[in-house]
Amino acid sequence: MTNIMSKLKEFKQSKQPTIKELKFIVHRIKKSPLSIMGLAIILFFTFIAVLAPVLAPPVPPPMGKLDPFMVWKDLNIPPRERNLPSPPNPTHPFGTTEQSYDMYYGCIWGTITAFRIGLMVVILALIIGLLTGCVAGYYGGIIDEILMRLTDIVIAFPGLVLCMALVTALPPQLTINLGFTQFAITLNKLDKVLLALVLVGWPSYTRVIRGEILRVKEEDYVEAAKAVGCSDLRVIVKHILPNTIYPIVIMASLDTGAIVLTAAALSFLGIGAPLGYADWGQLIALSRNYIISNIANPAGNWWVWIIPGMFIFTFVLGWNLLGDAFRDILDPTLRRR
Amino acid sequence: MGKLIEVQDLVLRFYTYDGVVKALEGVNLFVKEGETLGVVGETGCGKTMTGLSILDITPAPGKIEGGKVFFKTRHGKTIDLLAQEDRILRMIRGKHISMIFQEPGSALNPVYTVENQIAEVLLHHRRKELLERTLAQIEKDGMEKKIYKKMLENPNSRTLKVFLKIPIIGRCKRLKKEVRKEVLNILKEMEIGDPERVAKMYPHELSGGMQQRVVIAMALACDPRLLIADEPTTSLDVTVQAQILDLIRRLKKRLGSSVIYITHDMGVIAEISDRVAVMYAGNVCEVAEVKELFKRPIHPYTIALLESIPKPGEGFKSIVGMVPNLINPPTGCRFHPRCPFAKTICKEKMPKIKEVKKEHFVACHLY
Repeated sequence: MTNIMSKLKEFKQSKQPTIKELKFIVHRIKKSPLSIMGLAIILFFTFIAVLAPVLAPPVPPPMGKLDPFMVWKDLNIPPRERNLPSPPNPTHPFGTTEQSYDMYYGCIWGTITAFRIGLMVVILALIIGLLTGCVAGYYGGIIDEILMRLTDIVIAFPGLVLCMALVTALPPQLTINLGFTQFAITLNKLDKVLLALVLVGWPSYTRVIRGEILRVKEEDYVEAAKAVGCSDLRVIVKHILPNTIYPIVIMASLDTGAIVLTAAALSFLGIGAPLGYADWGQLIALSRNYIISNIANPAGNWWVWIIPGMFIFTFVLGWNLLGDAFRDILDPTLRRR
Repeated sequence: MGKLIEVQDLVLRFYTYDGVVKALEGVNLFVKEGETLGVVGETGCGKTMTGLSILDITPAPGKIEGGKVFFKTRHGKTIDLLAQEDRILRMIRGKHISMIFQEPGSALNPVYTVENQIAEVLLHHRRKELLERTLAQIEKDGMEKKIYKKMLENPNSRTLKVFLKIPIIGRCKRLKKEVRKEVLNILKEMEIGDPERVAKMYPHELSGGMQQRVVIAMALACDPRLLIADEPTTSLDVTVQAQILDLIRRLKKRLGSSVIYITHDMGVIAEISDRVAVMYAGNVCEVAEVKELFKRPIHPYTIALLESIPKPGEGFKSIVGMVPNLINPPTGCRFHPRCPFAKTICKEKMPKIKEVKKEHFVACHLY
């Protein structure tokens, strides 16, 4: 028994620095209530996304579809009223929207879609941005020139318009010819949105990363690292990137929210997710005709736009607040001041 | 005593928009084994660039256009550093030749603790030795011993590096412990009072003197044979300066390495160096033993430089004129516009460095 106790003590002692670090992180987060809120919001949405099958179990056909991401239609509503939204009631906690799609189901499963779009796009854009930005910033010269002109071309177009153009222009099947082999990728509508957002989003990362690298490259400690005998790759990965990554992490967090917003805009315009797909933008698109129900009672159909609108609003807000929290937690140069 | 490093006719140019900056124009220097060479000169005369050129890490628009840097390796072979492959140079940098930078605050990476930064140097150059030490500690035959043996066979293999990145499995607790012990040892050598605490600190939590000690610790972690100290005490106050100078001198004596000490402070030069090289506008104009140089300077620039050292009770003396623009340097001897003894030949021909007395070299047409 004492043996175990002493071992436990030893373990505690050896983990002292880690514990101290964790305590410090908690301390920092506690200091800014806004980051707690951001964290709480994102955790809440993560919780919804993970528990979606429990919170809103898929409805078997004929009302639902085999794909759980397709929102089920209530066929019990008499055909004449099916086109109109119906207010919240026990079977439909959030009411139904146009064509009697269940709003609750759409909102819950839409959370997964939002995470998927936001995170996937940001991660892919970040990877492309990191690679191109590092090469352009560190090596400079002709590669830098080519990459920067490429980003200029993309940035020259308004983001949303370019996204729309790309989504409509992308073929349903993308054939990639590598010379020795050739393979095809089938793109469904959502993949197209993803791809378009990545293609529009990467240049801003490249720019920021390149600028940061240009700044840090001149620092003495980079020179010192070279004097110690580090290779280029090591200098970039171990000495330059850790000093440049914080603005990018914050930007990525803010972007995760913004991308969801853009995706919703695309869905609203009818070129995003396919009809009936669980997606917040889609739900708002379906409520387009009922935002003002009639002159006598303007907010008569409030649930059709307020509920999915609130989901999008809180989600984006959460990521924005989290961006600041990330900075507080991660950046050691801001620490212990 | 043999020459440890010899710089011959080094030419460094920067290609900028305004024109070609002729930063170094035929620099000739040598350092004997175990001696300290002081390099003095005004700001912008190429002292630091000479140091960086030896390691072949001159900053971006700079190009080494000529010259050779001969370095005597441990096995007694002489190699030209500028002709070596990058891979070999990386082995030499930090291990055989290391450098201390001017601003200790900015020479340390702000996102790593002191321990991590020193450990990086150790793992980069002394991985094998540390692994051997760790292996000697393991008594049990088993998985652990096997892994360490594998690592020792090929310390720099890619697969192993990837393997070590895997959390939990690739922890190498023992190796880390060994590295930590070594880091603390090195810090103790630097006369840091509380190495355990300092090791865990980030650079910005340390004072200037402490930071410089850490930088020196990194530079000396692999017992280099040549240490290039680029104004290591310029940004420190005088009491700390004396401590650091003392430290460098003592470590030098213990390791038996040579030092190139770059500074513009004549006092420090007189204090620390065995021989002195005076540089002006990208040229070496005078090299002599320290006593000889201070007692019997020959070159007009050296004379002017020594006269400009402030003395109590006297007014400040300065050298007339300014350091020339290195895009359009003066023809002939670069010092002639400011030289009180300039002759016509000084405007036309660049003087070659020659030995006028024993161990006293000067580049001047007057001698």
